[in-house]
Amino acid sequence: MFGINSGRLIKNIHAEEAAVKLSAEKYGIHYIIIYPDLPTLREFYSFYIKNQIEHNKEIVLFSPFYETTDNVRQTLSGGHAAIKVSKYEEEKTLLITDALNQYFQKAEGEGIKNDWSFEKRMAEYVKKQGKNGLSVLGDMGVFQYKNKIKELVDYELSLPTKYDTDLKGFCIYNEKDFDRFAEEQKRKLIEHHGMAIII
Amino acid sequence: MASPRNNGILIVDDQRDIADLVKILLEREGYNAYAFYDPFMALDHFRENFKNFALVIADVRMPGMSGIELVSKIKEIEQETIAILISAVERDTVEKEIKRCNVEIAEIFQKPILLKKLRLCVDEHIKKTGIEEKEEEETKKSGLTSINGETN
Repeated sequence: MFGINSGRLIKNIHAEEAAVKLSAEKYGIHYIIIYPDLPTLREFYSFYIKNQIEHNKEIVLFSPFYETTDNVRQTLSGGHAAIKVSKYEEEKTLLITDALNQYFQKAEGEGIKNDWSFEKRMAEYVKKQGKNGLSVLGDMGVFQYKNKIKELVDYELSLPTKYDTDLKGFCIYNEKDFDRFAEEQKRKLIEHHGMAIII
Repeated sequence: MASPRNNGILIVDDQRDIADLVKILLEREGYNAYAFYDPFMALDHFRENFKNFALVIADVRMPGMSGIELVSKIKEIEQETIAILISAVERDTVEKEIKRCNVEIAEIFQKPILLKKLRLCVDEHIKKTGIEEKEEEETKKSGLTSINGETN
């Protein structure tokens, strides 16, 4: 991962600083975020989600994989964020769903939900709700768990580099998962996304 | 004749507190327990010391390598290793994945783990292997030798 030299790769940015930077970015961005461990990821999503919901009047969809949705709720209720999780979930301002359910079909065969029409529909729904936009954060570790590395690369490359709706998309990778890609795959992924940020 | 394996237990969980807790619990019961937070390091250790291990306890969702994949690789090295999985997600989701990967898993424990239940499960599976009995016999034998040696 660290051997890749690209202007699109930002290294060693603090989790809170990354959250503030991404919060201020314009809609349409589709970035990769690489995290070293759960505490760092928690710090990032706590600051980011709080900012987007409470200050930017957004809807946030977060799909964790290496911690349960209940753990995420606990993290957001206390610590850096301390937001009213149940209130926002009831209002459907905050949507938390396991990455396995978000990216894979439950039916036999468990294929990948390989289009982003859901996010498009969500972005339209967001406008009707009088919100400014939608942020989608998903941990891609689920694809490695399902041994779908090639399919993950194909899925990522099928998504636009820049969305034409009021959507910010963040593909989140644990660094150990990202390191399992071949160098060529890493290069393709980083080049396809607007930016890759290592927190 | 193959040399008997030790009753060592490999514990692998990226949640350090859980790995450490299970290690302490099993050490108190007299097992040689080794905790790893990284599945790659655990696999390297197992590869070099597989004769010392009878059982592996692994978390299902770990970055870089899932517990199911780890168990699959461990069984390629030593098929007889007993595998117990621990998971924070629903059991049926884990079972589906085990079936897909075609890996033999002795038990699945859901987090938060009931430690007493886990200990009993480990005891039961270790007993089935007969390793404890073999070790007790060997201890007795060595004890006798020692007494004989002293009296001689």
